[in-house]
Amino acid sequence: MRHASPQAMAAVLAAAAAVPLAIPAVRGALEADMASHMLLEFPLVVGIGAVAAGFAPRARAAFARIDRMGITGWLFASLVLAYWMIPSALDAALASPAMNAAKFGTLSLAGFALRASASRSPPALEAFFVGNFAWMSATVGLLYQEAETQLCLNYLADGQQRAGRGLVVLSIACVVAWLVARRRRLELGRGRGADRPDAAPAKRINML
Amino acid sequence: MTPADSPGRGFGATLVAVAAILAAGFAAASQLTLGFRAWTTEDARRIAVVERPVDLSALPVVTPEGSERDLWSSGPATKAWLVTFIYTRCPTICLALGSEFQQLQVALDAAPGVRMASISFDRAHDTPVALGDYARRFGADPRRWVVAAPASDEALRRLLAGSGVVVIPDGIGGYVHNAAIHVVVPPGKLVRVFGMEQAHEALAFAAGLAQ
Repeated sequence: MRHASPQAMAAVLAAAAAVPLAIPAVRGALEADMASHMLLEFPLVVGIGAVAAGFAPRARAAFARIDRMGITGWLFASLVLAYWMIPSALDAALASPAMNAAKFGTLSLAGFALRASASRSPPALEAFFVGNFAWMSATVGLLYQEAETQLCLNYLADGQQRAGRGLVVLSIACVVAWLVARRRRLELGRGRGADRPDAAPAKRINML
Repeated sequence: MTPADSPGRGFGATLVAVAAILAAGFAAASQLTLGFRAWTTEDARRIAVVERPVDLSALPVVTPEGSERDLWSSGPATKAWLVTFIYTRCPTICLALGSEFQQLQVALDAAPGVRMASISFDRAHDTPVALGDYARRFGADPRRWVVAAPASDEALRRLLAGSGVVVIPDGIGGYVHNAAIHVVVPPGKLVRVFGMEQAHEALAFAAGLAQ
């Protein structure tokens, strides 16, 4: 119960996000527009997965055995996010309940994996994956805006433009958020020398 | 400390997991994009139809002249259909298409056995009268160019689902859909999908089938 209040807060927030997502009408409204589908629903589901990871220490411990330095979790999350940026994947999620279930499943697992892996990943590895994601989402965002036709059967061109601009903003926001979240460790790494990044005390505590 | 935390141990399991995730990711993306050939559903549909023609079920329709029990086999001389989807209220873009189809209709004289069908997905509005107005506006000759609407909502749903056409409201009272020229051979096999700009390729392909 050491962190009862932030944990409880996160749980309440996650539940507040998860409950509406379970209501078909709310989900339908979010998924009716390409931009809100990708830039509201996706982050919500990833966030729910990340919060859930806080309540599943056993699952995190089991995952740790196949996730040295967090590489498995970061890789999984990167591939999941890349997959759901493919236009036909968005159409498939709308056309088939099974694909939509797969979307919710993989995105929440990506949130779980990111939360779990971030407690053990060295900054260099994180920089690689965060940078890669930023590069990818910015490129996809520009492609969405450049496309002369509708890329998704289910989405109008104006939603596609907004989704494209949103992805470019997201790519910048992710890098900034990562720098802010890791500013201590990045400074520590510099202060202690690059040869002992693993010795950061915060990391040891997180791993237990 | 778990075994994974001690230096030099646990990387084997991680490497296996990484390899499995890469393989699964590759397989999933390859399956979705038909081997990295199509990134949109429309591109995938056009490729898939070439490789696996789609059996559309019988299509009961209403036309300005009356009704047909099945469009695809209406007229024994018809060997191939060039099918497009329309709604008669459609403004500018469809007007341009309609006049392009007028020219195509003339070209059909050189391709016996090929007919055009413009099928409305707007059953609520496109009554036989509305379909007739549309046909007259573009001078559609029913022996060459059939303007029709599915006779039931179920027939429309099956047709759209079978051919992979998705119709969505455009937000200003009309519709947007993945417009294309569909080549259908009796008794209802969708064999090829061409872009709207490929009308003459579509005609040449259909004429080849009709010979």
